[in-house]
Amino acid sequence: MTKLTRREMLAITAAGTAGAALTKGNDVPVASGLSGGTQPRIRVGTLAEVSRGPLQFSYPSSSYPAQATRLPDGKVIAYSLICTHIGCPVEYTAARETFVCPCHQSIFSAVRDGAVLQGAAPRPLPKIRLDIDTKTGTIYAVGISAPPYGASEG
Amino acid sequence: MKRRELLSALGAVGRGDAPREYATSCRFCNVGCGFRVRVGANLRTLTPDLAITRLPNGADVELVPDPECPVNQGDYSVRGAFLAQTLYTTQGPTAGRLQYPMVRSGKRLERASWDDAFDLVATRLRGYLSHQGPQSIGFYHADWFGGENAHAYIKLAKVLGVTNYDTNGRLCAASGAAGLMRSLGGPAHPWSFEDIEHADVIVLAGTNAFGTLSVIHDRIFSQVQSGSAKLIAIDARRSLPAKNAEQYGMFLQVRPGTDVALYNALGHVLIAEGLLKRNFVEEHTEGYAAYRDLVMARHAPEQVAELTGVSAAQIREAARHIGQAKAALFLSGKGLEHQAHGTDMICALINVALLVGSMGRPGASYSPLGGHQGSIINPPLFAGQLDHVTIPNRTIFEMLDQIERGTQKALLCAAVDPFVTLPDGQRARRILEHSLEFLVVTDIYPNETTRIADVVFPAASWGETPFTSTNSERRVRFYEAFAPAPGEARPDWAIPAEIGKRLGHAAEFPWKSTEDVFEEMKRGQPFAGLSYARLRASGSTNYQLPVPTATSSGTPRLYTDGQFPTPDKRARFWAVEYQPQPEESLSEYPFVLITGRKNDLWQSGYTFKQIPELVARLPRNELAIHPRDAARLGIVTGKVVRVRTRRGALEVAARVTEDVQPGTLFTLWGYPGSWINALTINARDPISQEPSYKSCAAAVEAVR
Repeated sequence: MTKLTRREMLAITAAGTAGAALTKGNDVPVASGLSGGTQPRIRVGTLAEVSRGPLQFSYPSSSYPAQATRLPDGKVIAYSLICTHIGCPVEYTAARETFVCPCHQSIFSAVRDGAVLQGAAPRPLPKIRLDIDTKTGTIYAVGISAPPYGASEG
Repeated sequence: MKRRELLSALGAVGRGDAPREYATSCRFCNVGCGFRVRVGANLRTLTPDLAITRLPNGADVELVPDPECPVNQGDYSVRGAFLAQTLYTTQGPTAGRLQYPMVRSGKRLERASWDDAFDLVATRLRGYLSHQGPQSIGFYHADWFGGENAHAYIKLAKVLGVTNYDTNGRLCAASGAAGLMRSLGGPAHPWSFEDIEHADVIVLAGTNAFGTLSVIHDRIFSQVQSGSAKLIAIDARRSLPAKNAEQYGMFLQVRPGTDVALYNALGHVLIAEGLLKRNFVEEHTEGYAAYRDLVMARHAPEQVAELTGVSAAQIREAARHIGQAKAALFLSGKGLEHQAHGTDMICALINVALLVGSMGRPGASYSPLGGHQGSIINPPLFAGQLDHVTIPNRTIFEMLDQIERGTQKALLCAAVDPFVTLPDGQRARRILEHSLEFLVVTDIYPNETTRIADVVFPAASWGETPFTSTNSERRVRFYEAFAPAPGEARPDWAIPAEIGKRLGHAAEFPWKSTEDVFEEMKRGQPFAGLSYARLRASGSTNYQLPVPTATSSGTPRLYTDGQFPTPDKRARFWAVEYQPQPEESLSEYPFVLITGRKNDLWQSGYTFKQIPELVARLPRNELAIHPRDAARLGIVTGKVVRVRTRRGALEVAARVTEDVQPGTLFTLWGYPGSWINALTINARDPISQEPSYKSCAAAVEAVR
């Protein structure tokens, strides 16, 4: 099992904050499913598992597929897998550290907080904040930078 | 705001808790995606949250792409995503909208009443008309901003006898219109977007449709990705459609400006290998023999390979795909229009379409794609005609010459920014700033041209006043009003109407509403069967022209019977040949500088620069250069370079990429603050007078 360094921990806990800063700065209420502080804590898997390959999970609820990935530099990152354009499922391209939407060719950066590198997607890919239990190596998803495409408070 | 105050504020747009619902169309490109609008109190929306904004009257407005609109079927581009953010707000980034008339007082523009501003304009124009005659004044306006507004300006020009009249279609659609006119007899785009789903070969010539007409590109990509069609991209630049074509068809990377030779070689192969549709050519075309003689004698693939940079084998393979297609769809972009011989390029491509009978059948057609929409009354102005019937007009370039000579004194502009957008911009600026006596500008934001204006009028814009225009498949787009205009802004048509009244022509301008203008302008037009009531009832679908009667449901595609609007009802082959670029790229200026677009940035950026999120996506202009050239000149990605032409220089960040060919440079046209037209050349197509924004000889060097 790979031991988590302090630098990795910092990288992980810093995740998911930059995207939120892009949220429109007016006072219009936006339904999110998250506004009530309901960002659940969900077990994703273990560091050992993510080191063998990306882990699929759902966040913040079962309707929204997500993926945790270990980058070559050791950082573990997680993103919603739903394109912010029309809601197609995006695919991870390890060689370029990008998520690509096969429907309309939007591309998101896995290393720059989900930033849109190409295409009609208007928003970054929502980044999922992780918490890792250093004793057990268990990875938990604990928050998301923005609601996945199509989310509402219902 | 208290609930009662909010409800009171909502009076104009919605009452109570039930939101009002409307249908409208995107304000931007020639696709014209349908959108659904909700206006009400405290709306909540699904993500992305960009779909909603709060209006000055306290109401929220939500704009989402319409899944039932046949144009976009729920799809949208990045521009469409930010539509709600382009609406006027009192505190947001759009708060800088023009709100009141302004009149020059020394070096400053000062707020004036509408009455005083109109008085000043009428007095000055009356003076010019009585002393120097109607040729001393001119009109220049957008042709995307609504047929009703164009109708009002055309009418004012007519009643005053003014023939200095042009629109900004001159800068981007004139060669497409002229080419269609020469080859098919009429300037209308003949196709329907649904041809994409019927085609088994799609030829994209000189267009990065992904970067300009995203939703059209999405439809093309779906068609080729599913294996239903092959994609053939012909472009000087390896943009995303070209990369898709490498995967789903083939990409011909043509040397800039040599397209005519390449298309003629495609024609050569189709004829030599017997792949042409002989029946169509014999029954529905004229001029084939001269065309055949030209391309057979001088356009064998081997004869043009060196000039075009495309191998003979690639030309043969592409021609065979086209010749064997059941339905080949040809679409062209600015790569063919922003050229000094753009009309010839369009005609040369239409020649290939005619050879294989690609006209009027599902999936088999040709069309320019266009940039912005055309006003409904304006089959884009063909050089030499003011209203597509009778009156000869002088172009904006002839007006500049007249102003420079001193024979034209006044110019009235609306929804254009000629200080930024005209080619050879240093000369254009000098003339507008120093030789013109009286400049009146109507617009929605302060811009470079309002800065030098004598009178500025604020216009109500998209969402604030209804109007109509047409997209690339001749579909009328009805723009609904659902938001208040800023300050005292008025619909554009009201400004020429009031000027006309004050110049003694009150009877000609009786309109009380935009709908009144529409009812007048539709007489005798191919949309005579439409009314605002009918357009509103059709949601965001509307109708494809012609719609001649109130019972007609529109016309999905033109020329289905093989009859063309030429005197003999036949389409024309044009035996045209490659002609050199207006400036040779030689020792001191060894590069060809190409300018182009990207979907985040619309035109001169007048909405882009108001929206911080959009600017963050495209924070600066860039100059693309091939790695081989970059290495030789010590240029690296991200560092500033100076690009120069005989007319001017610009500093811009470099991006080293194999997407451009060695010897070519590419940069964005219209990026705010990066004035590319200081460099571009005032070389124009001899037929359409459209400028060549994509070809000037340039030099580049590292700065730091």
